[in-house]
Amino acid sequence: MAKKSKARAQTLSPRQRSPQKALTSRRWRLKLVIGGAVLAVALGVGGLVRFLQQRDLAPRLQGTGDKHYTLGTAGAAVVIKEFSDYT
Amino acid sequence: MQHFEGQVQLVLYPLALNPAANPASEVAAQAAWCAGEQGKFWDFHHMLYRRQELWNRLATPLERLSDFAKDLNIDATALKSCVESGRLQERMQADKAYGQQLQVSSTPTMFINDYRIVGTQSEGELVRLIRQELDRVQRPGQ
Amino acid sequence: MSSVQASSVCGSLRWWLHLCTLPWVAVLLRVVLGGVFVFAGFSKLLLPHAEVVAHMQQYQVLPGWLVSITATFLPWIEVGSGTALLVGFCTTPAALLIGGQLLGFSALMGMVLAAGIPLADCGCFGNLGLPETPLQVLIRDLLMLVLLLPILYRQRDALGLDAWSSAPASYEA
Repeated sequence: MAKKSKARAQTLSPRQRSPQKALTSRRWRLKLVIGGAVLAVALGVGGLVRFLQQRDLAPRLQGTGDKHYTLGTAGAAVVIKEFSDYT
Repeated sequence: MQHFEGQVQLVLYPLALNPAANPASEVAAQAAWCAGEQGKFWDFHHMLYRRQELWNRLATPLERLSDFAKDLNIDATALKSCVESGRLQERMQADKAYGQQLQVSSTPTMFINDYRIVGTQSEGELVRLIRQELDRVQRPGQ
Repeated sequence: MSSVQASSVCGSLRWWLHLCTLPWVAVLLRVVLGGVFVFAGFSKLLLPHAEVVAHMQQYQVLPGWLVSITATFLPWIEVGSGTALLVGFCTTPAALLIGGQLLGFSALMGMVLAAGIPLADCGCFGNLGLPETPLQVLIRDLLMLVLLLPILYRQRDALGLDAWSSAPASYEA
């Protein structure tokens, strides 16, 4: 089978072979573009999720004390909010 | 806190993240709040950690905690009725909701300003992180 | 092993090797494995970075610098390799990358089990999945490694971007 195909390939003229090669090459480039785009979208969504999460954090952390027990100085430059469980 | 007098404030949010799996934590947190109504929150808070092994595996630790409260000159009867009334549940639920907003899903979780730390850290590491944040916020011109 | 048991094992192996040659099996497994890794990656990206670090610190067998690097890059590698496998793009490298991750996770769980570290939840799927013990994770990952085989064997023929971009078969006999 392989010998037959080799023989057949050798009998085809360069003009007959080149459209096939061009099509493959075009598809291969298109594959890279599509695959790259899909990857970029997936990773981009992940990045967006992380960014939105971090962006929302700072405003939610505003406000200190507010009826909770505190140690240290009110209005200090650094506020530590500790969420802990006694067990 | 002694390292950073005047520069740092600690705000505590006692949580019971998973009361179904661990009912003792919810009782302990409520008891701490109730002790706070008698002006003894921090004493009770430290005691809970010091004697953790003596109460945290009990399904109903309230009796044991009330006994411990007497050592701190806390009115144990008032403490017990405060916990049993459940009137501080709402405050605890609000703290839990706040924790969920901040995506707190394990304890301890600390925020040094915006910087999140999850899990127990050594004192040295905590001091380093606090100092780092202090340097950042106190940078000249900021 | 008795001869009956031996022939049963050989029979199962032959059946599995036959399945490895079927293109639809490779497609199905590609979608499943790729999907699992995309899900695992996103479930970690949905968590704050410090939570992912904390999950890895609980294994107690990784040095601190490796925990930090892994927590930073692993979710992205999972999403990237999972997506590539899902759509059949650079299937072999993606499958090999996933295979490498599975080997790494298996080794990690093996170390945790050997060290007797009690772990209620591996954190493999952040807060979106069921809690899994190290033994459950080890078994799951080894099974997934076996399921990679049909993908590696049939990757060019199975439906996906790589197959679409390959040279048409009509040119060769």
